[in-house]
Amino acid sequence: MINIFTLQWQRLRRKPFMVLAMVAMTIVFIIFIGGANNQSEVSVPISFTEGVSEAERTKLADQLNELDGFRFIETNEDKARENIALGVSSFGITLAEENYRFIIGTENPNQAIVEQYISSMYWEKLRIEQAVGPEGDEHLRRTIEASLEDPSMDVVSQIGESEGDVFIYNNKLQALFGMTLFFAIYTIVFGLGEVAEEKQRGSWDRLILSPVRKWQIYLGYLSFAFVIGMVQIFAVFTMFHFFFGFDMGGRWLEIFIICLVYTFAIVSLGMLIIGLVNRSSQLNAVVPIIAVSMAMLGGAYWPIEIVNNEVVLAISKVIPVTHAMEALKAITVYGKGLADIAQPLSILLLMGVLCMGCGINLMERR
Amino acid sequence: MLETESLRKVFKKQVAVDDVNLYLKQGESVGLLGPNGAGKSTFISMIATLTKPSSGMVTWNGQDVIKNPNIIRPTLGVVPQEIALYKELSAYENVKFFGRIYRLKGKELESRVQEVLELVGLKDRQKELVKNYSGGMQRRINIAVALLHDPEIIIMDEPTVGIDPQSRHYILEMVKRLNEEKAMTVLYTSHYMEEVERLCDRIYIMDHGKVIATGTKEELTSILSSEETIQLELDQPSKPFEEALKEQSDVLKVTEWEKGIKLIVAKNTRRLAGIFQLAEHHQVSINSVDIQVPTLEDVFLHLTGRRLRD
Repeated sequence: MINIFTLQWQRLRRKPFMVLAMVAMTIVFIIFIGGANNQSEVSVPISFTEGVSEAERTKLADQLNELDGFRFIETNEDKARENIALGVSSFGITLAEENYRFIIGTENPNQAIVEQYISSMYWEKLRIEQAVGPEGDEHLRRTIEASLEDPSMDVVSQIGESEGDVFIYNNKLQALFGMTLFFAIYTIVFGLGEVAEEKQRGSWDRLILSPVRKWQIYLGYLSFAFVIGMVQIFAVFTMFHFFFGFDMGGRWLEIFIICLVYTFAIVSLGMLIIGLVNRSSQLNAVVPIIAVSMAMLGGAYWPIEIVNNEVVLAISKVIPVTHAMEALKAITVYGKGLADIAQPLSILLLMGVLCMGCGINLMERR
Repeated sequence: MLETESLRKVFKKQVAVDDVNLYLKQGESVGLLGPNGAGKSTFISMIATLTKPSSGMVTWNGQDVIKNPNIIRPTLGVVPQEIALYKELSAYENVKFFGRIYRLKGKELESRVQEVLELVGLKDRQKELVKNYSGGMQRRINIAVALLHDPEIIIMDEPTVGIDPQSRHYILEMVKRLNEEKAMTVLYTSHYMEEVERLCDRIYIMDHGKVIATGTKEELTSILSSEETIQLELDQPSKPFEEALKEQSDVLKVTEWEKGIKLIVAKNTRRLAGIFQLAEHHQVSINSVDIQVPTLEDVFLHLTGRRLRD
């Protein structure tokens, strides 16, 4: 097993281009989508109706700009409409005292994120207005606002109509996790693809005839694919945390456990795919289709939280990316503990065991 | 002794190997001759315990190797038809890896690696990457890997396909040496008649999954002892002349070759005068006549009605 494992590293040393290309693509896409600097924030033009006071305008704009990954720029409604018509922005918002209105040019997943944020912002604003009453007790208002800014206790769980408030969008971490998990699929499955090539080339038969046991041969290949996948994921995570300032919260042990389980699930999925295809050329054709589909449906390209379609949500449940993203966000964005991510981790493990069993069975039947 | 009894392999409804009986004695060199698609590779894959037969038996010194493949595997060296090597590694790295797989270690591993590299004549170029080797050199390393663990029996599946004449000659000489000097048992499959003629003590001729003839070269060619081959070189091909020859009662078979026509006729029938008369009648000019001793190619042609490389 060790010999087969080290042989794969020796071969990788001679042919490192695929793995390096995947790491490079991951970095480029994270910088492009997540933005390693502020210039890549999404600009959204906002305008105010006449009834909104100057102080209120400043307050609303400040509140909006607290949303990560977006920059809300005050302008007038005509200018905003002109920018949207020219395609400079895909949407804009007109804010009133008690409501808001979206001006939409093209459909964009960012709209849902902003919509969710602005909705919770107005809910809060209207509740305060209700508490203060029509007379407008300014002292009470200040007290409530001060309490909200510095609460005496944190409300951990929320239910009912305010459930939407739980969704926190972090553009940088969304891109980091999504792209890293997505490109790792290629590295892992193509790394495992060597098994299919070996079978085609005849060197597999040589290994079978040798004193090495079959399970040792499989373990040699699987452990290589597993380690190379883990190395890639962790190299990207640490690089963006330490060099690009992406705040991952420092919960490295939990992140490491999630990556272990996710990599295991993808290695197993890779075995299933290799068990289903006949040749390495078929593998090359199938992997991009599966990887892209999984990334789209599993919330690697955009947050799964903004998807409302029941069918898509149901499909996403059987995709490893969904559960890995959920677990990673739970740890880094929502500050949850290991016990809270037991469910996605268990699902990933179950997927891994099932796919591995079916994959090896299919390969052996051939 | 290696023996197969009524060995059969069916893929879906296609019979690849059909009730083949074969034996291979210690130190013997046996050839398996047949055209592409005759079932040779499937047959040796079953002997090598890589494919399970649909029915039949394979025994090694009387023990069933289908039930327990480990009886034969340590004593077996297999040279596959494909270049089963890691081309991005050097010849040395390839051979060393397979040596380690066979549990060779330290000095023993190093000396064995150098020994087989010397045997295949690539000791001086062992550090070069396999992908930079010529086809013939790659085939030699393919053989070297199979010899690493010093097997008692070596099964070679068309080891000279697609290589230059020099490399081919080198490989054939090497196999001959292994058989004669090291008493290694050799099962050699090929569709090159001359290779099998040169290397093998006994020959099995396979076609459509069946063994259609077996024996020494002399025994096989004696099938045609009552016949002789007349090879005519013509200045241009002529279908009417060929048809007229086929109608002659003592002409058993007529086939074309690149420069004319080949006839198998009953021995001592003194057909030459008649052939010349027919040629004159059809205005065909005969440039040369060659009366040949039967070859394995002729035997194959006689048995199947086809050439080996058709």
